[in-house]
Formats: sequence, C-alpha cells, structure tokens
Amino acid sequence: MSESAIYAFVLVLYMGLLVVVGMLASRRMRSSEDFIAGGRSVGPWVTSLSYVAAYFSSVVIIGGGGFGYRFGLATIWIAAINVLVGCTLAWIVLGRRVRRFTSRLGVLTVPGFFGERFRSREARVLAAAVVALFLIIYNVSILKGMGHAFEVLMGMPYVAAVLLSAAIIILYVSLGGYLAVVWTGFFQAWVMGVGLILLTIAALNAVGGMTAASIDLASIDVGLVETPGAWGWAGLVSFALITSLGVWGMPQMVARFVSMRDVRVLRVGTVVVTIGGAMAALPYINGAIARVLHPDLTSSDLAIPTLTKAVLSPWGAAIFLAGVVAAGMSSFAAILLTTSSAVVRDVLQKGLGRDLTERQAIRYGRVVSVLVGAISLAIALRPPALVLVLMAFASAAIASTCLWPLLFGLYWRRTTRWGVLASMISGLVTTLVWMGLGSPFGLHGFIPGLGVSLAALVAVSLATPRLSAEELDRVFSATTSDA
Amino acid sequence: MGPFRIPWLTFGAWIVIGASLVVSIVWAAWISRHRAGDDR
Repeated sequence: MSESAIYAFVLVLYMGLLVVVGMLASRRMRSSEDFIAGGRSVGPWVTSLSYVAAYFSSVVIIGGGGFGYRFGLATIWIAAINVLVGCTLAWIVLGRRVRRFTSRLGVLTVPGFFGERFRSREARVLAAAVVALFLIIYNVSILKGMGHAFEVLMGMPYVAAVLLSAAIIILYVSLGGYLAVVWTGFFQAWVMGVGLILLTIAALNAVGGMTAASIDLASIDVGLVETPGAWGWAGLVSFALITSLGVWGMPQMVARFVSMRDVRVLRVGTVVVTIGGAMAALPYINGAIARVLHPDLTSSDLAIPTLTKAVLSPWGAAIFLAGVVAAGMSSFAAILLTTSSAVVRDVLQKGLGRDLTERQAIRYGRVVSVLVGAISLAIALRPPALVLVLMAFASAAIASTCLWPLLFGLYWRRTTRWGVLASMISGLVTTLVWMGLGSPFGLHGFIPGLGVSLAALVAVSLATPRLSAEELDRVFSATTSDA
Repeated sequence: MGPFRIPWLTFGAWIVIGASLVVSIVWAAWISRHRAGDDR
C-alpha cells in the first residue's frame, strides 16, 4: 500500500467511526437537555477524557512542538502547569459546585448560570454573546491548524482538508449533540494519546534517549535545557497561566461538569483527567528532540510534522495524523455545541423570550450548530489578516469575561449582579484595549483583563446591595436532596 | 564541556506533574471518606 493510501485508509476509517458515534447518540435525544448536556448522564471516564480532548487542540500539538523546538525543555513547565491548574485544580475547585448549582438552578450553560445565580438577564445575554462571537473566532484558528496539519503531513490541499474535517464535525455534532461531542471526545483522547506516545517512543529511540537528547540540546545552546532558558520568565509564566487558568473561564470546558451523572464522577474523573492531561507534555518533548535531529528547519511549526515523517513508519505516521486531527476535531466539536447552546438557550429562549417546545429547541440547536460551523468554515477557507489578530483575543476575551463571575458566583455569597456585570464589561474591554495597543510591556492582555475584572467584581459587589437571603438559599442551601 | 548535570529547575516540571497526580488521588480519597453522605 502506498503511503498516501495508508493515510487515506486510516482517516476514512476513523472519520466513519465518528459519524457512527454521532448517529448512535442522536437516537438517545429526547429533550434539549439531552442536546446541550447529554441529559446529565455522563460518567467519569468519558467526562474526564473528553475534557482533555477539548482542552488540547491540534494547535497545541503542532504549536507546542514548535515551542519545544524554539525554547527547549523549559516548555515542559507549560504542560506541568496545564496539568496542575488546568486539569487537577480546575476539577477540584469547580467540578462539585458547578454540577450542584447548575442543577439546583435548573440551568445547562455558563451564561445560564450567570442569569439565574445573579437574577440578571443582562449578564446572561452579555456572556452568551461574548461566548458565541469569540468562540467562532477561536474555532477558525482550530480549523486552520487542522487544515495545515493535513497539508503538511498528507500533502492534501488546505481547502479540501478544512472542508472535509469541518463537514464531518458539523454532521456528528448536529446529529448527536452533546453525547456525540463527549463520546467522540473520549475516543479522540485515546487516539491523541496513542499517536503522541508512538511518536515519543520513536523519537526517543532515534535520538538515543532523554539524557542523550539533553546533552545534544545543551551543546546547541545551554538555554535549551535550562529553565526559564531562552524564553525568559515573563514569557514562560504568562503563557503557562493563560493556557491553564484561562480554561477555568471557558464555557466549553465547564460544560463537562454540568453534564456529569453526579458529583461522584469527580472521584475517578479527577485522577483520570490528571493522567490524561499529562500527555500535554509530549508535544514539547518531541519539539525539543526535533531540534536535535533537524536543527535547520525554516519554521518551528514544522518540527512535529518533520519529526513524524522521519521517525515513524507510514502506519505510525497515519495514526499520529489521526491523533492530530482528533485533537482539532474534539475541540472544534465542543465549541460548536457550546456556541449553539449559548445562542439558542441563552439568547433566543431566555434573552429574547422565544417560547420553544422541546422538539423545536433541539431543531434550533441543530440548525444553529450547522450555521456556526458553516460560518467558521467560511472564514477558515480564506482567513483574513484581521481574524488572525482576533484569534489571539478570543480565548483571552472569553476567559476575562467569564472567569471571575463563575468562580465568585460559586464561592462568594456577597457577589452581586452589578458586580458581575462590571466585572464582565471591564474585563472584556481591558483585554481588548490592551491587546489592541499591541500588548504593552510584553504582557498578554489576559493578565490586565483578569486584574481589572477581579477588582471591579469585588469593589462593585461590596458597593451594591447584597442578594436576599432567599435568593442565596436557593443556590447555596446545603441540602442533600438535590444533586 | 564537563560531565552532564541534570538541570534541576527543568526537571521540576516532572515533579509538578507527579505532584498533581498525588493531589488528585489524595483529594479523591478524602472526598469519598468525608462527603459520602451528601454525594448525590
């Protein structure tokens, strides 16, 4: 079998499986709760591994390898903070309360939580609008990353690659809704894991082991084995924090907690998500190894594709490519569903007060997810320069809008609706303005955005009247009768 | 170049990953002991 035939065979088989999962999931769809949150029925393994799959996209694998190539082994720290803060602590701090509070308040989405927790339609609609707008932009970057992965590894034209992968994702998300997203995510996490482990073993073999790789790296530049090394503390720490803490404010990640069967899912899930998250270290190591084996690449983003072709057999490379595609698809799918539920549930139904039956709500959810997918696809086919700039804003904008309102909404009774609105608006504006000014002092807009929105939330909450005791009891009452 | 020395600060990243695993296991064990009653 020729190399491209092997790639095509593995990919067709793999994508066919995804569509089958989508069709199976669609048979279990009875209500919009099923479409948005899988009927709150998801167990620990699927919850945790689909969380990992949604977290790490193909941009992380290819781009992470590029960072490893440029900055060396210190980049493993990014993975370490991702695991500790973005996986383990996120699950411990957010999981239990998100599951319980959303259930008590009868909401399925993060904007919905803001709306009910703070009795504020404005907070709900504002959050939903920010989430929908910026997640579409975020999605464009994921599609683009996937298209380039196909292009480099398979020699497939960019447009065809983007069209094919987007069509498959839109099909299974619109058919199967949330269950299709988490089950395919679960499956994709395994494909990513196997692909990355295969590549790492082959790469370590080729370079003669980790110690040999370290010695060779040090002889190229001693900064490649030291921390912080060539990147410097500011770059390393701010990047690690953005990619870790940012997750706490991303609705497509928090949705995993909403859909858990019960809070017992957290016990096994927290351990599994930590182990699964640890595979985020592998792209960085492989990038660093690529620096030893291929020191003269024109672009660091070529590190992973070049290494793959050099050390893996065609079958191994095909599996790794499937893993990269899996990483992109699972993140894209999770975002597609989150965007669709923000638009239908929070803007259309609750914000504009449209009365929809359960069947209509599912139909709208499907139509909107196809629409959102099509919009992302249309932009990704010919991404204008402006979108490239906006991409950097997207995750920072969402996280600086949602992170503190979510965290304080879960833990601080004194938080008020005005505090939350002030926090959202000031966080969003600060982030956008800061990045619009070209990120002064080399500081990513996320950091001043977080600082300002935190200050605004606390100050405005303390200055405005607290929510009534009954309102708070509705959320915080420690009864055991509800989930 | 002298004999290779392990860059300890870089190696620390692996310790953090291991520590995360320990934290998750200890927390899971703690939560199932102490919150068994209101665990639904």
